[in-house]
Amino acid sequence: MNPETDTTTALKSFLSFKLADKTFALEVEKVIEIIEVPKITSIPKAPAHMKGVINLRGQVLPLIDTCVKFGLPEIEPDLNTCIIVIDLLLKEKTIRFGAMVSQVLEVLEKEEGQIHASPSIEANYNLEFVKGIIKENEDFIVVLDIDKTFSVEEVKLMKDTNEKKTKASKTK
Amino acid sequence: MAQYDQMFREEGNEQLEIAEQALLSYESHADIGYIEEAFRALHTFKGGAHIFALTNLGDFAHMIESVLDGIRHGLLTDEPRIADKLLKYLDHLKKLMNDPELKDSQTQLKNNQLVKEIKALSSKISDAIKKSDQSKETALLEAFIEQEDEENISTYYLTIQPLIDIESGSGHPVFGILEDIQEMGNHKLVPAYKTDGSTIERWDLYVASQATREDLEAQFMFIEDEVELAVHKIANFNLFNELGFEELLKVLDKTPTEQKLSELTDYVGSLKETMVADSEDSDAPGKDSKSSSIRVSTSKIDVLMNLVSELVTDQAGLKMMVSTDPDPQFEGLVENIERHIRQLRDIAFEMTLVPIDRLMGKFRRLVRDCAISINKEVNFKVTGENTELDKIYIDTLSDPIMHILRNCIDHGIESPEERSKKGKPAIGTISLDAYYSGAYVHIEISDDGRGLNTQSIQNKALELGLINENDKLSTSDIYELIFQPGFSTAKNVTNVSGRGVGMDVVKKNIEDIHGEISISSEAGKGTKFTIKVPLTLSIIDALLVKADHSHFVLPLQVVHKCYELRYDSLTDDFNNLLVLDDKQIPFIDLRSEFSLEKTPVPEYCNAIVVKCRKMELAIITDEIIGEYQAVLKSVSEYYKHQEFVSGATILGDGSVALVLDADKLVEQKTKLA
Repeated sequence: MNPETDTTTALKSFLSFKLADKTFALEVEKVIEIIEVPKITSIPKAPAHMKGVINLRGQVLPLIDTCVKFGLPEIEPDLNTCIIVIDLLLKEKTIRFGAMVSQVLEVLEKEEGQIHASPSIEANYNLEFVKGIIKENEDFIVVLDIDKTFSVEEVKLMKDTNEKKTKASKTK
Repeated sequence: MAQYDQMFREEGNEQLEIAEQALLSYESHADIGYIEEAFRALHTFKGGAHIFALTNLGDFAHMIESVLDGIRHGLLTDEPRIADKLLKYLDHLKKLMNDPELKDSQTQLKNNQLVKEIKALSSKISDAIKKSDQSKETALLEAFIEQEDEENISTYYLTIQPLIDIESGSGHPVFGILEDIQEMGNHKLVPAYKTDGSTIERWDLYVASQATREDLEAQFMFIEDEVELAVHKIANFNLFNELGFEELLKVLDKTPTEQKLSELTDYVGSLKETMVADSEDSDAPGKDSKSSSIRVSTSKIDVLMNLVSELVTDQAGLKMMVSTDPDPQFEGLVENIERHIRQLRDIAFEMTLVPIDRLMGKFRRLVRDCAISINKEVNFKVTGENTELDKIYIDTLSDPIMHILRNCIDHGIESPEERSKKGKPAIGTISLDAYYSGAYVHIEISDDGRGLNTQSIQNKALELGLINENDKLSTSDIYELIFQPGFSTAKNVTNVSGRGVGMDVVKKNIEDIHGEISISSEAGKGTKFTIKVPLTLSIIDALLVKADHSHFVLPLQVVHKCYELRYDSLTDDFNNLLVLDDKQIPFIDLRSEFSLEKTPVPEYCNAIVVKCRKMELAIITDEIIGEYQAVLKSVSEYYKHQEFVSGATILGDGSVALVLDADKLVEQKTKLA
């Protein structure tokens, strides 16, 4: 063990990205690749944040509009829009999906100790999805807990609430 | 080493299964051929075990083998329930596979006990082991010729006698035909000339090929009037590989025509004798018969299938490119590639298909054991065991079919006393029939038992709150209730079935692979379960349609008929019914159903009538693009609630089209209403 590798293991990399005008980050080891937005095939009757499916080199990849997922307005794809391809381990099964974000920024390297538990991140975001906070140039960036954010159960939950909403609006 | 260990485990289990199946067959038909089969399997097993120094396994197998040897020599005919005993030994062998060192004291005890038992048996045999060598010889002869026959090559002797004058070198079609035949395999053509030296008197043609006599005769069908043809099959193997055949042919040139045939048959007869002499040296006939197949791991085949699917998709893209920019040279190339890919696809598909026979050993055993454990006698009949299914299906179907069989034995078949009271044969019959029908494979499992009691099913369903008292249910609706979770009408819970965690799982498993299961039953006569699964999971023939800006794919199997109609004829209809060919058919308009409204509605649209499980349904689309070979891909867990999407496929331009499941579409619609 030379000291060089020691320092790198202590470092953790994060990919920062933008949803609308807010900055978030996720652990880089979850990211498979970042791609541009191809033609999207929407799936009818799916919850609003389930944008549809895309063709990733012959693989059908589900696509999530991360903005809608966090209650922000839907992303209108432009030049900056990117899809982060993520592998998620769920019940011993790997699910690959694309998370559409407004803009991908950079990879930040932080020491383990620099990740703070979120003290009070107001009630703007559901705290359950937050893994921690990192500080970059005096700005605080929220690190998302990917496993929780995009779990299938979570998707189902969203769907149920959506349905309730639509049912409620129908009864009106 | 672990890797080899795994290899032996796989191979060993397979051999044990073969042996088990053979013994089960032997139990019902005392045919020595089954014993031969079991013997061969065990012999292979023994070899493997010794290679990996699993002495306990090898020795035990060897002992069973010697008992089998005794049986096939007809030396153990007086032993009662011999098959039962042998099956017990095989079970022990299977147990030993997991504990070859006899670490478990109980296993060791059992081992010692069984070894003693077998030794007693084999001593009986060794007393009289050398008595009947004659039967061995004939068995070997049959086995050997059978093995040759597997390659399906036969040797034929043809005489062709022209009825008109044909000169050698003339362009008569007979020369083309002779050339064609010669291409079929090893051959020798001997022309005989008339006295003028150029007109053909006759040809003697010897050819070894896979063709049948009919194939050969068909070659000549257009010149029937011009030549006289005689085809003799002289051997059911390739004589050209045999010693002395070439020499014989040279001799035959000088033999008078009439004697040729008898000379040939004499020669073949003498060959057969030498064959037996040869094979007596090796104690395992058919040992080499497997050399024509190799063992490939299933994961490799999966990868191959994926790659082929990718190729099919790429090919669609290529084809689209060439159609937008026609270039004759490029077009030709693309057509070639398409043809090759199709061949490749077919071959790759064939590799993933396995005969359903693979499962039968397990089933036979299950039926036998089950029946014995609850004191019923059951005859298990299997037809169509060569029907081939996708490997994935075979794996998935195994559990559901086992469950159904268990149910048949436990609930369906009555006890022998009850049966004879009803005037039925005391031995119940369960039959399993597998057959192709269109793009589906049907597996029917039927018993001749008491049938389903609709009343008790209904009572039970009421009790469980699955139905209301006022519900009017058709018979098939009542049968459907069996598939509800937690449903079981068995009065007593036995260890065979009746925990009520079965039929719903059966149905789910089958539906997971896009299959269906249905029941028909007649009180007192029996019950029949029909499982229907598509032939293959990965590539389907489909109809590509368009609604608004989206493409959808409908499996061609369900499509019945297509109509063109004015779009505005749909709009004023409040109950969504369409009259087509004087029939009222409910319709689903994909535009309104899926809220697709980016482009204005077209003037004309297409109604595609599809066959659903319970009814016909018209699906309204803007446009039918055409037939399409769809490589099915799953749309991932995230969309499992959009059940009407059974998958997705990638189109030539790289975009994704959804595969619609009409049944689920209807289901979802009726659920909401």
